[in-house]
Amino acid sequence: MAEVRCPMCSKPNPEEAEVCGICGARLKPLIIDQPPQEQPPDKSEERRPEQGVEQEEGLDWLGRIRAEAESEAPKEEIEPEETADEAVSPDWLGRLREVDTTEDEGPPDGEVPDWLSAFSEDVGEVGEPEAAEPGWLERIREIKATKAAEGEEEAEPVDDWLARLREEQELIPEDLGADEIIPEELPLPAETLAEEEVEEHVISPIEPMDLSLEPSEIAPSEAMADKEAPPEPRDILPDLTEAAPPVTPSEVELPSEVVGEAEEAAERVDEFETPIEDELPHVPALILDEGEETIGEQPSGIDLDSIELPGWLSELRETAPPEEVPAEDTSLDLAPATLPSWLEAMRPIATFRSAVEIESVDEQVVESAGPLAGLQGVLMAEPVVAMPRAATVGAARLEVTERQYAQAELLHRMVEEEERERPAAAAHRPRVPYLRWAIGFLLVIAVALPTILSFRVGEGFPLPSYMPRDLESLFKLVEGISLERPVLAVFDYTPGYAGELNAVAGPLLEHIMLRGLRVVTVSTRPTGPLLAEGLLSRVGVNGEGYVHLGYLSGGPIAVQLFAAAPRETISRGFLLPGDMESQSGWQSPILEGVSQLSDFGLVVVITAGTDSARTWVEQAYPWRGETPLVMVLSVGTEPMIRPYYEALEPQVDGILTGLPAAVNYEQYLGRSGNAIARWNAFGTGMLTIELILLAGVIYGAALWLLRPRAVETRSERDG
Amino acid sequence: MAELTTLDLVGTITAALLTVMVLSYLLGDNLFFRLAVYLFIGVAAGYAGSIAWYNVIWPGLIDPLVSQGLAGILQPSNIVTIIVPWLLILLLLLKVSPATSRYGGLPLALLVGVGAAVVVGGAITGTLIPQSLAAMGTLTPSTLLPQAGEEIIVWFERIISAIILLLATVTTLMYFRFTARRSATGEARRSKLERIAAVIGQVFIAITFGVIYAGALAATVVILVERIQFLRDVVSSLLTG
Amino acid sequence: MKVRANLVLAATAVGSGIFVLLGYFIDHEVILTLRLILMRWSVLLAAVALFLGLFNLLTVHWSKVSEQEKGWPYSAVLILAFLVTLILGLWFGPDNQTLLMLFNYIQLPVEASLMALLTISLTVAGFRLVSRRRDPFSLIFVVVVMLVLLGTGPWLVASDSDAYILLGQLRNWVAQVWASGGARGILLGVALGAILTGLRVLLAVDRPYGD
Repeated sequence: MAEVRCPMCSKPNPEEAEVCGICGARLKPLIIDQPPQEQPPDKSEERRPEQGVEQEEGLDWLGRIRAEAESEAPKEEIEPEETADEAVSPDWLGRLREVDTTEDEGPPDGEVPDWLSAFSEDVGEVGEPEAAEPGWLERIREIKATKAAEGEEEAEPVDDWLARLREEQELIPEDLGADEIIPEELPLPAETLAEEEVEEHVISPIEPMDLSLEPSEIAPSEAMADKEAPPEPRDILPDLTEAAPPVTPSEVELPSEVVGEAEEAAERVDEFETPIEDELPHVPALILDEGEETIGEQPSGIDLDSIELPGWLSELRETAPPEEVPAEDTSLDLAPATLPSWLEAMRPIATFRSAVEIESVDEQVVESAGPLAGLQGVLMAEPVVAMPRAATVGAARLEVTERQYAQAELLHRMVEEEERERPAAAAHRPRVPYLRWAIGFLLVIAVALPTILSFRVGEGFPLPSYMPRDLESLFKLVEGISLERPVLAVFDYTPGYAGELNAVAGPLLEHIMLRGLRVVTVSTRPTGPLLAEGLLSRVGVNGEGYVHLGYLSGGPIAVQLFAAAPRETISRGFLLPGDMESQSGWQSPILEGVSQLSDFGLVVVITAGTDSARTWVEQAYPWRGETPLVMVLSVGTEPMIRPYYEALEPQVDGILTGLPAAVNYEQYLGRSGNAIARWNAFGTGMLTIELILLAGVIYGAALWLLRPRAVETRSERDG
Repeated sequence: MAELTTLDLVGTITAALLTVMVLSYLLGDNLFFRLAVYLFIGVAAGYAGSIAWYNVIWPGLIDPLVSQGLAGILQPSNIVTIIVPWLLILLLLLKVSPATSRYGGLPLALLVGVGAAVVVGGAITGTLIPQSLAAMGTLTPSTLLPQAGEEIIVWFERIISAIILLLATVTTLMYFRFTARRSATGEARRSKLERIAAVIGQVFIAITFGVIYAGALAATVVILVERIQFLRDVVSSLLTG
Repeated sequence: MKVRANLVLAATAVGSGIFVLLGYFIDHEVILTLRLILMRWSVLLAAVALFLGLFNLLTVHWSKVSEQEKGWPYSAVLILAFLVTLILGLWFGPDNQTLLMLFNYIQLPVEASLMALLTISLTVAGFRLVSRRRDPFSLIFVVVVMLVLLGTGPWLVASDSDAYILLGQLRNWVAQVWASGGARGILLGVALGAILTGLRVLLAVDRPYGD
């Protein structure tokens, strides 16, 4: 079944549909069909569509004019693409489309526009509506009456009213009467139009014209208004509509020349002081009734000379040779729609369907809606200009990739989480450190008991009898130091490690001082000199056995500077003896003859930090020459410094680390010092730690043995 | 314990109280612990400032300025020893205020540059080259060949130790090498040899950290013993009068 | 203007660093002399920087006291102790008996006690480690720890036995060979990292002195 496209939304609809099923727009214009005698002479009379009229909207009155112009040309019928329903369009434009086919063609008496009144000059005098009716109009009405009597709607023979107008061009119709003009019934005087003009005019696309003319500008064309004239145009132009039937040119497809001239006529209308009443020529109906001839191949060569033209139009024609006009005019009017370049550039390409299609005559679609129904190659005025086009589904589809979708979902989830209320945090219960309490209690008891008991018993853990090999080499090293050269002792540890390092370094320093060697102390820490004084004051006398150079500020830079130029680095001592208070430590006799690092007999670095030990090893290594370097280290630091010791060319010549080594040293010296005093407590503390860790291993093993069974049991139950 | 003077007695009791206050942290964070710690920080900071002034700033900046006088400052020999250091220090003092902080960048740049050079030079000459040579010299003929009078088992132990030492050094270094090639599938993986070496290196690192941890435990036990003994001594001296 | 200032700073750092570094490898009098001058200036600057740090400590706690923030009494105690010690040290000298007493009766016991607390913390951490982690490396770690502890500390019984001696030797072998090899690798890695970091500063790639 053939389909009809809606002019509004471009959706296909059944052929017989009157209204679009998607948007509700009217697919077929309403046709006004009313017999001329029934037309009231009153100017304010509105056209009323004849009920039961089924009139094709595709019939073009001008086409019929062309058809009639060819007296020998076969009248071809253009089958309407769609039938017009009786339904009244909601707007005034729609109501204009309703044409009463029974009405006589032509404007009512006194309602012919001015430009048509000019046409009527050729036709003849226009007298009173009833009295000045031209012959051609009478013939039209007779035909209509015959049809009505027969009860058939026959296609009104194309009556070239323009041709008839031309025949009677000397007559100036002043008043064409109050008959309503039915465009489709307008007799087209075929002989008045050249065949080629008509044919070209009808078949070829017509140049786009400004159809949005204001009613005031189209006063002359109102002579071809439908039966039912909308109140608005009449209200807007009461004077003009009184003279002419209310027909808007937007519903009428006029030749471009005619429209252009109509525009000029509209301008002239404004100049008219008095409206023309009852003197306008009767313009035949523009919309044909059903059965009437539709516009097919239009007779070409409409002879405009035969058309009753208004005066101004006739004046224009007088200036141009009539022979030339057809050819040029047809080329202008009926030439294929060659859009001017500027308009072609404005032509939308992809957004919506092009309303202008330059196609061949055979392929052109016949307009089936609106007042231009029946015409070929017309522009889709309404959907393009008047009504917005609804967006299609395809145009609204958005391509989204999976990644974009996932990101959008993530963002949506984040926003949702922000809005979600979080449950109030449970009150924080202070966690009781049972494990720390237990271990702390055990360790304190383990350390305190031997400390208290040994005070009384004096027995406890046996002293180590195994002498590490490192200690033997250290003994030999200290024993081999020259007594003339002092020993540089670097106290680079914090007071926190004083409990361990004082006990470990004590035997070594005691050994050194017992040999008669003098000690010079220095430190890169502010508390180093104090710690040195606390340790050395137990075994020697300040100023005689040892002297403090003081504090070196600057970390590795100070060590490097001291190694390169000791005397220039420290100019002031620390806790110098009474007779040297205002002097520099370098003035002490202990440092006599010492100007560089290699002048010392031994360098002892006492430290608990890996960085400090490594700094002294790295910075002092190039400057100490043959002077041995001994490290007294905390037990935890030993592994990182031992590589300097375990080498073919060791950078560290001796290591003393840990309480056991200190106990061994004290045993070697035969003196009981702090190391031995802390041995028992050290033993119990170490034993307690070992037992605690062992308990941890057992606990962890028990957890590991028990947990898998519980999981398996649960899984078996669940299974 | 030696006879204590009154001042010493007060100080000793104070020290004992502070020791107990700090050890009370075993029960949990409390007022006494915090009081003792804040007191310690104040005293330590004050002492550090005083000894830095006494041992470094005064003899290096103030004393030359005072001893030379204004006339002596302008001598060319004092430009390097007095004027320039003073200018640098004045610029450094501008760091105190945010408005003038940007002008104190020059002395900091000098400090950073010299410090970086010292660290680099010491690392190259003191660790990188000697330790690399030591690692390379682990399996030298002098090491591998038995020494005169050395027992077989001792020689064998020395060989094994040398091999383990070298293996530990190499594999530990390889563990810290995280450069990998990207395969065709896009996954970055080290070669199989590197991965095996890294696993072995992890073993040696675990052993090293185990020794360090045990040593730290042993050291802190001695420190705890010293503190307990101090408390015992204080109590006993107080009891004995 | 800012670019020029940054260039001056970078040139200062790079230039001073290069001269000091060259002194490690080139035994030239000019270089060594300039090197000593630069290091002497750095030592002075380090001491002044220590004072700036102390000043910052004072201002932070002063603001806490003046604004009565949480824990402001502790800050007041800190400020009081700091000022008293600093004034006494500046007035009488750091080797004054008063300061010695302050050190011996306040700083030394507190710091030593804090280090003694570390025993309990390390033991608790070790207990949790051995009871929860069961990967191979944790197992090796635990075995080595037990071995070193047993080989370091005295035995209550059988301390003269061969087992104790064997365990002691095994402990020394593990600590002085196995751990020493790993430590050497770590030392080499640390040295390489220190060289890289220092060279970045000397080549002005890193500029910690700039704004």
